[in-house]
Amino acid sequence: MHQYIIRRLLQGIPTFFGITMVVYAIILLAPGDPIMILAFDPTMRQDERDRLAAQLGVNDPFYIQYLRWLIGDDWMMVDTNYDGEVDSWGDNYGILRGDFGTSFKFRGSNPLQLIAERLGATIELNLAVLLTGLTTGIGVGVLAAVNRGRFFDKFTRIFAVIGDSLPAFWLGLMLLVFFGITLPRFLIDFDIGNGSPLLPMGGRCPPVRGGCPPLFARLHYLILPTIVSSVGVIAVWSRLMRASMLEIISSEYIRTARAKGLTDRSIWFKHSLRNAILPFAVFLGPAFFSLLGGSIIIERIFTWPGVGLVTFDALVSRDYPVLMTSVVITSVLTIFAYILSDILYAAFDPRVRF
Amino acid sequence: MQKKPISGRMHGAAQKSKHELYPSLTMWQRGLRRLRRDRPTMAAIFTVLGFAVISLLAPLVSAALNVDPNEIDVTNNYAPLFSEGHLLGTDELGRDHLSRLLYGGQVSLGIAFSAALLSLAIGLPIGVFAGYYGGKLDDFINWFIITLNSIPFLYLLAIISALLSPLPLTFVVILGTLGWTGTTRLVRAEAYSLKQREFVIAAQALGASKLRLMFQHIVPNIFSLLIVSLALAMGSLILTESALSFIGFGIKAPTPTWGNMLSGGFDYMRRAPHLLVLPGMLIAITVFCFYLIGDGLRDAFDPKIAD
Repeated sequence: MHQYIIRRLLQGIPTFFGITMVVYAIILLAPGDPIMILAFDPTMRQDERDRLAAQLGVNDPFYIQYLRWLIGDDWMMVDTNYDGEVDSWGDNYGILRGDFGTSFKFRGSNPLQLIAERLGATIELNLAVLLTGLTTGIGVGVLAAVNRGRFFDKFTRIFAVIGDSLPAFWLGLMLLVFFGITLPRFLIDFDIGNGSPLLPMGGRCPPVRGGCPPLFARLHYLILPTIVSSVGVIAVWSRLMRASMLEIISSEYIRTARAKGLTDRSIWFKHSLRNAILPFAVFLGPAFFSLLGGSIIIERIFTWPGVGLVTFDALVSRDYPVLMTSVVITSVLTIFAYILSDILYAAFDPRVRF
Repeated sequence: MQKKPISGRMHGAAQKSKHELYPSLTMWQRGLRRLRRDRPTMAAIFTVLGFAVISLLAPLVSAALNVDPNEIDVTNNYAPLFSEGHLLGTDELGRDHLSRLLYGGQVSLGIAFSAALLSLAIGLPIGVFAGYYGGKLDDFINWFIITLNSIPFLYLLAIISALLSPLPLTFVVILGTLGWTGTTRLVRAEAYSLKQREFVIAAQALGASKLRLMFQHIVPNIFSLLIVSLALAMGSLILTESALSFIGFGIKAPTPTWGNMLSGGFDYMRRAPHLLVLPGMLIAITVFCFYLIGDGLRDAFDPKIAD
């Protein structure tokens, strides 16, 4: 088992380097002049331009730039005052040693820190979605399998297809309109309260008033984004769970259990459910991953201060260091999610050999 | 009702052999026959085809109704449904909503269709080669796919389209070149298992070349799977396009797509709810239909399900 875990972790390394290459290639191929973005001064003199270009190293061949970004340049002499000669050691450490450069937009701030500050919010939200989505999805799927062909089964099937075909952001905005405009008006009209109970989302962790309230004090902020994100998860998982349950229930050992005279309840919920859930350990990684990707939409709708929102802001302002950091960090998290789900699967399934 | 003489019918039956009376059906014939009997799937197919045809006829429809999707008339903006001269009202700039929806359908459906086809065209050969040859090539392709799949898809898409601000055609290329990995994984697994089957080995023993084995014997057996994944991919591509439009990195105005009309509609939802409701409904119905079609095709072409 230990060996398997170590081997699986080692397999993540080439993937990590692949990701850094893809990310760097995209930024490198992007049109637009990084110097213009950074200096934002059309009247800049040519020699100033050249100096900045030398500082940033944008004139070097792409593999040197990539290497410098990856492992830093403190091992090579660089030209700092643009006189054509190398004159001092570089001072970048590269992302492998945790140096992601400095943000273009927030001068002097560390992108890694910007991301790390927001990572908690994203993980909090995604864990809530995963928890809600999986428990509801599995529950609905099992009940649909038990009541196969009856009303509940048909109803949840329609719900699943609709949940799959609605754009998530549409649902999110509709909820936002209801809780942000319709409900407060109603409350004010009837003199019940002031403002909406579940909004504003941005108030989750007020940065000005200092500190974050403990999780239980701000759980209500989680409700709307969790509903919107989990609809898709519930739709997919309930169908998968139903199919898996029906496959298990027609197998021989269930017939044996019936022949032994076990109750239906015990057969469905003890003998079938455990075996039906097993294959889904493998979906945990991809589920987490698709949620991370979708967070850019959900966080934008609800101004949820997570990684998705930082990425969006960085994209709009062309803040390349922050953008690259965010992609690298979320990708690393994704790799870990995949590895974790593989290990879980191996740990729970006795048929998997190491 | 006219009855045929009994003797004639007897005569005909007697002449036909048993084989002709119950001709054995090929997989395709049987699948299509099952499909024809599956009412919801047929309804979904006709709905999508209907949308596609009407969208393709957008210039004719617009001309017939005497409207132009890009003609701005600020004095007549936010016209409600069924107003004079504009069947489905007008948008914030007074442009005819119906014709914009039709032209938007051209773009949205066209993008989904061509991107799905492009990712199929890329993913199919790569998957077949990887599954058939295995070894180093397979390892490399696997590494590449895992790498691409580890980067959150929407991030990747948003970054590329934000940096390039693409036209519809570039958008298709981006979606296609990023979306082939799913097809490849599917094809690779199937090709790997098919190449060990007896009929492939038999063909090999008869001296068939590797290319012939791959594309004459293996690919046709994966085809029904691919059609299913094509239908499902088109549904999710329409959703992806609208999600990207929502965060502002999709196809830019003035080119209408259902996605950017929907996300634009939110700004005017109080004055003109139809700007929000109609594109949203079109997206939801189309995606819904594609999922139904995918499910129906899967059932129709699944050899394990008996008639």
